[in-house]
Amino acid sequence: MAYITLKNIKKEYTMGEIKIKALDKASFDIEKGELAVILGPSGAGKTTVLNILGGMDSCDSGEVIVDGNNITKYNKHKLVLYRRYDIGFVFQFYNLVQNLTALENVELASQICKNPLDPTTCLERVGLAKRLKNFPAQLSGGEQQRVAIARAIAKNPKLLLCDEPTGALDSKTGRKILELLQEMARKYKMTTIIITHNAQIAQIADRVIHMKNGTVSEITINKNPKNVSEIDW
Amino acid sequence: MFLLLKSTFAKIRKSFGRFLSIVLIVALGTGFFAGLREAAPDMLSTVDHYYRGNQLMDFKITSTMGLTDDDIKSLENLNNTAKVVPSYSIDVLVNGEAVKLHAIEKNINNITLKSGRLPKNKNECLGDANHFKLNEKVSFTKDNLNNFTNISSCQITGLIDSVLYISTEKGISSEGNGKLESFIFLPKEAFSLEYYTEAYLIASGTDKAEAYSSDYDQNIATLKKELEVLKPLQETKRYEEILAEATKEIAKAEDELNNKLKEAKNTLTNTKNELDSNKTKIDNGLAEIARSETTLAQESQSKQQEIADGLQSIANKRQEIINTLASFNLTVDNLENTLTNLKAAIENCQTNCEQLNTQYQTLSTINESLNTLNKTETELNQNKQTLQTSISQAQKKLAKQKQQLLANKAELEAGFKAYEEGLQELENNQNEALAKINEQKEKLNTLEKPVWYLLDRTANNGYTSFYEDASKVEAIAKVFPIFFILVAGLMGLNTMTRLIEEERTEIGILTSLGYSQIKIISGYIFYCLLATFIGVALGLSVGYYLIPTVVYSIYNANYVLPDLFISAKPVQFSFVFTCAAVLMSAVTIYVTMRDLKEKPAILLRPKAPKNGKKVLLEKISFIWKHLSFTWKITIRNIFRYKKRVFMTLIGIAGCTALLLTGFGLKDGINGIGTLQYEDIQKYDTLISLKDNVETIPSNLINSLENNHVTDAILVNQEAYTFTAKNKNHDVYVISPENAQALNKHIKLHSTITEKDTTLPDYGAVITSKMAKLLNVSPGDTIKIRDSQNHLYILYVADITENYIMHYIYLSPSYYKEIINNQNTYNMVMANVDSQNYDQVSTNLLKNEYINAINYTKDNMESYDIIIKGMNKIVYLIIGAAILLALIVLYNLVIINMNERQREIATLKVLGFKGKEISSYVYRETIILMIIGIIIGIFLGLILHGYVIITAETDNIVFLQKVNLLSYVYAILLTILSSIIVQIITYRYLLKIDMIESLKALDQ
Repeated sequence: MAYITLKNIKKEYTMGEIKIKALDKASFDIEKGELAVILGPSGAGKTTVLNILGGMDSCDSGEVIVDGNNITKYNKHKLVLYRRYDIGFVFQFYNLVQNLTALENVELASQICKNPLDPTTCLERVGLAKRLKNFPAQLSGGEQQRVAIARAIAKNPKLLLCDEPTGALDSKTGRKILELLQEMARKYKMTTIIITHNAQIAQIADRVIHMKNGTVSEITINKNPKNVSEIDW
Repeated sequence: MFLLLKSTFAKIRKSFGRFLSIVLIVALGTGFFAGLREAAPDMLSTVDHYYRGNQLMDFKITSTMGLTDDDIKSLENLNNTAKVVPSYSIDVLVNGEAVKLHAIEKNINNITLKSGRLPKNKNECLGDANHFKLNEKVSFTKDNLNNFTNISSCQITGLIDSVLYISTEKGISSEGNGKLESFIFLPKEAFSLEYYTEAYLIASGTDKAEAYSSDYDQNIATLKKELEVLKPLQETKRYEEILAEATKEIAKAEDELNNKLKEAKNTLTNTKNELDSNKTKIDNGLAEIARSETTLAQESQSKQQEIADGLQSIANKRQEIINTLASFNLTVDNLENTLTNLKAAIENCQTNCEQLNTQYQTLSTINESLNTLNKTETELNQNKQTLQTSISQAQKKLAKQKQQLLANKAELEAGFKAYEEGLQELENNQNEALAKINEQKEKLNTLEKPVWYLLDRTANNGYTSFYEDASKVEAIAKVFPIFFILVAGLMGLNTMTRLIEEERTEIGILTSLGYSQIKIISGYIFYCLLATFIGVALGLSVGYYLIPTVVYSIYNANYVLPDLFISAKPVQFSFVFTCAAVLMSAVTIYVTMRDLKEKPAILLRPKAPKNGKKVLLEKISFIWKHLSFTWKITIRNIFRYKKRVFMTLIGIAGCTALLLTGFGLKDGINGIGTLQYEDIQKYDTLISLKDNVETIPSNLINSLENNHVTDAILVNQEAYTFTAKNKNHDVYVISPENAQALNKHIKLHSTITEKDTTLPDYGAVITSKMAKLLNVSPGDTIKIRDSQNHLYILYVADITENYIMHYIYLSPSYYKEIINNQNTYNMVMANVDSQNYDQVSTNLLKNEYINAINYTKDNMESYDIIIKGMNKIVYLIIGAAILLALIVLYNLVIINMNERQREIATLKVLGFKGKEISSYVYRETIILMIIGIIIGIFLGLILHGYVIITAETDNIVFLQKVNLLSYVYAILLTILSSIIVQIITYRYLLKIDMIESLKALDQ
């Protein structure tokens, strides 16, 4: 059994009088320690998958099994604990708390976890050892995203979910972020899922899940994923 | 433009809560402000309508000797009287309670018939709707009742309210226990008085002047001046009339008496004359009789003498004969024989015949003379007999006549006796009548001048106290609403600012699409004006209605008044709306303009979130290090959103301050009843005497002692006035019989030395509020005037603690020196060792010296009634303060959450539990609350200090001290409001959607 399994996930949104099928029988597996990329155009349902996988949203039917636990059966409270202990999020717009320094943003996450990594170590890992006491506003976009990654990994989660992590960054900075994420998966065996519409990024993944109109159209497995430096942007 | 309107409505729909919160803030601010401000004017305008609608008199004139038609005419002739209505009223007892009987009048002091019908005859009457029942039969008692009325009971056919009695405290009475309990209106013909007891006046111009207004006061003052001129004239006139009439009557009585006397004397004199003449007649008769008797006696004597003489001479002659005979040896008896013998011898004889003849001759002559003698003697004897008879007859006649006269004389004597008696009686009668006349003369000499009393409406209990109450509302309304409108205004502006800040993207889009600035701004102004208009309309319609109604209903407990008259107030409405609209628009324009200055491209990008900053505290690392992580965030957040923090602090501090002021005000009022009527005025009763006395009569002492009244001392208490800041104030001047004894009943606590003190021999001790009004201190002098406007200047020796009314305490010697050179007393100040005050009153009022009895306890109770009303106002303020706090805090927390929605969503995604998130969000609210409360307490003390001075009326001193419990209540209620807001907003917090919040930067 795979580390993460999605089976026949369905999700409908009601927008006024129109029903939108966001997900229609989406299924895929991801193995532990893999760097997976969910690839698709906007509106394909990839963010919905991420939300459901991250315990932020529920599905109408189907099963999501993470490390043997069926999270679709979780109640609200259990979902909070699931997010708290098992998931690390990285967003397109970083979502750092503006009023906290880089270190404090990481501490914000680590202090509520059972086995957190040392916040300073995490920031050192993402290369921000010298910017611990800077506020988000004093950091560049890439640096902010690195803080966000540090915050996510400091929780020592089972799963690192990244929603367009490079979407707001220039290519040079984006590359660095991707390198960091790849390193996390490879070096620290962190199961990482990146959502992107950029097919280039898919080349660095162990597994690429192609999505289209709410369904998984194709799953490809890269035997030899490329390094970030090798891809063209 | 149409599109902009559409987008405005869309905005309202989209975030209706925000629109509503602006509406509510505007409504609360303006509603409370306007409502409380209008409460007093509405109350006053309601009573004014009531007064004018029912033609409440402006003046009541009464006189100690009643009013005559001439008095009424003189009043009518004044330039400034619009109406003069003479009328009657008397105090009687109904079931032992004092009730005033009034005559029903038309077109003045109109009554309001609540049920039943008007009386059809003098045996029917109208009764106080709050005291009597329909069809109840009411009997009155009063000394000499039939001098006043020609009925002694009546049937109540209608129940009424009277504009004369708007207060449940109806005043004082000369009957019963001195407290007037109720009233009855009778048809005029039920009164049998010869004079009017009073005249009701309406001054010209007052029908157009609102009661209590300066316009009204001016009209009254004008008439009062005229009345004051008229008063002594009519008093004197009436006095002289009474004097003249009485003098005339006395003269008439004297004349009558004199005439009667004269007549009686004449009759008596005639009787006497008659008696006298009769007496003379009788006396003459008697004298004549006496004379006749004498004559008779004389005559009878002479005649008897004559007869006796005749008889004597006869006897003499007979003796001679006898003697002669004897010479012949003969006797009278043998003469005849001798003669016969001789004759025979002669015939036989011729011898010696001669001799014999001669003898015979001689003898025969003798015999003849003897025979003549006998004959004469017989005759004489016969005469004697006759005389005897006639004398006896005459005597008898005389005796009879005498008897008659004597009888007459006895009668005459009786006549004389009757005459004497009549004379005596006359004298007695005369003395009696004179005594009576003299008595009346005496009375006339001591006849007191009638006194007119010019009573304007202020003499009516309810009239003045209602104004006092309304003034208190007004005084409070001066301060509180300002605070409300300030806080609400700031909140409204803050919300509007926030709204436009959030709209910057739309402003950017509109600008980039080429909309002009004016069009863009007008869209927001429309939104803002719409909210303001709805808010003002809502606030004012609720505020104008609710607040005056609540306030009025609070006070209505002490009054009998019609429903509140709430007038439409378009002017005030426009004013409030204009102010609110201008203010709100100004902010809208300012904030929008600020955004519009920037380039559309910048506007289209989200405004960078406020940067995090280190706070000063972080530099003090030994504190900072020890703070927990969440505390650090909280502290930093507090310093991050300064504007919101400032607003929150104002809201909470304002709430605490208002609450503290409200509770403090309550402390300030509630405490003074006990202080004044238990601690300062320690006596239980003040008994007013019918007459001034110099020493306490023993009869009174006994009466007091028998009724458990102890520690009685005589005092003189008179009302005077003093003028401070162009306003007249009443002050009681109290002078005890003994300065030391006063301490037992009144606590004199000097505010100068902060020590208890005794009345000094020289100088006056005045109460603190009076000293404050006059701005005097010991060593200064004050001026007071009596009811006749005499001026007295007093030296201030000390100032004493006092809370209700003004008093001046004078030692007997100082009183004597300054006010009256004779120390007399009109009151007895005493304690009562009995719980049954009614019984004590009833018993004591039987005493001839006692006029009325007033209990300190009753004063305290009536004060308490006022206090209850004040307390309710305080509750209203407290309620409003909490409401204000709720709206302000709710608004701020919601704004806070909106601003930090992304942050909160992030926390949720990170797996923070509900509790953790709320403590993260609310911790700063709690800290701000604590700081706000601390600021609020200081602010509250300042506000309270101001309010308590403002709300204080001229004759009351409020306590400045705020009880500890009030701090506790103010703090707890603030915390409670904060907790309520947190409970409400917690649901909002839970609803924040992670996905939506994190998706994009705007929307």
